[in-house]
Amino acid sequence: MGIKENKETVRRYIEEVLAGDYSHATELMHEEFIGQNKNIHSIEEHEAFFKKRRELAPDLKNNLKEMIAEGDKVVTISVITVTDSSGYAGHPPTNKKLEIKNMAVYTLKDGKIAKGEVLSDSLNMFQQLGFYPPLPEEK
Amino acid sequence: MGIEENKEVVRRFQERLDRGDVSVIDELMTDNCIFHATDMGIDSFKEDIKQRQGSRALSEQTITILDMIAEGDKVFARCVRKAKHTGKSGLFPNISPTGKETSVSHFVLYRLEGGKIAEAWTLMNWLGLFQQIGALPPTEEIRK
Repeated sequence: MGIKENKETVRRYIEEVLAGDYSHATELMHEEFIGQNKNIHSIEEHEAFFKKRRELAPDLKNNLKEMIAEGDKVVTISVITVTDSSGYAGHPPTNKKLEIKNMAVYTLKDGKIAKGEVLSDSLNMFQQLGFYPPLPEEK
Repeated sequence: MGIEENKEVVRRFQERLDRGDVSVIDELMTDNCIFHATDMGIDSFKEDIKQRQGSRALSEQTITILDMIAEGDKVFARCVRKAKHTGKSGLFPNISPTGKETSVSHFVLYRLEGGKIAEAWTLMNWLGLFQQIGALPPTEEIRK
């Protein structure tokens, strides 16, 4: 598979699977899919994890900004937008609209996504939620 | 410039910055380089780097590139930053040095122009770093 096909697979994964449509998940994700950060080891675990997340955050959206690819890897830069309508992990909802920067590296195998490594700006997310104060300037 | 030359520029840039060689900024970044993570200009970036080198909180800082992916005029690097928490940080004056080895992910994407970095998107796991030195509570404690 070329990088054009790999990018298309990742774009569809983000726009379909991450939006909750698993009807083509087995075409886009490898059966041995690993989600490194969330400790996910199969498509089923992926679906269960994100189903729960969508219940808590129904308007969560991964907005793709940039994509580059080489060999069997595709890198994405995106901004996650989500309203804190249910409250984070037991906290009362703030109803704030959050924007979370996100970068991911996907490794493809046989034209399907076999591994995802994601880095999000979690510190900034917690600051937007008001759990951590903004940091003072270092003196 | 091909992608292999661009990767080499990024490798040299990271290595020299890692060694504390600030002159690499003038050499391998364009004068009007854009920083997307922080919306800072190149002058504040230089200032930021100098401050970080003068950091009393972390020593033995290293940055290792684990993976590089390039296409067209862009180069992405997945890095890990390691350091030892041996001093007090100006950000967290109440946190005493723990002597702990810290290790966090750092992702960078650069756009190159004529062999120089012209645009940078970076994301670093600051939360993980601050949690590792005990300056911010672990995520489990935020969960109610």
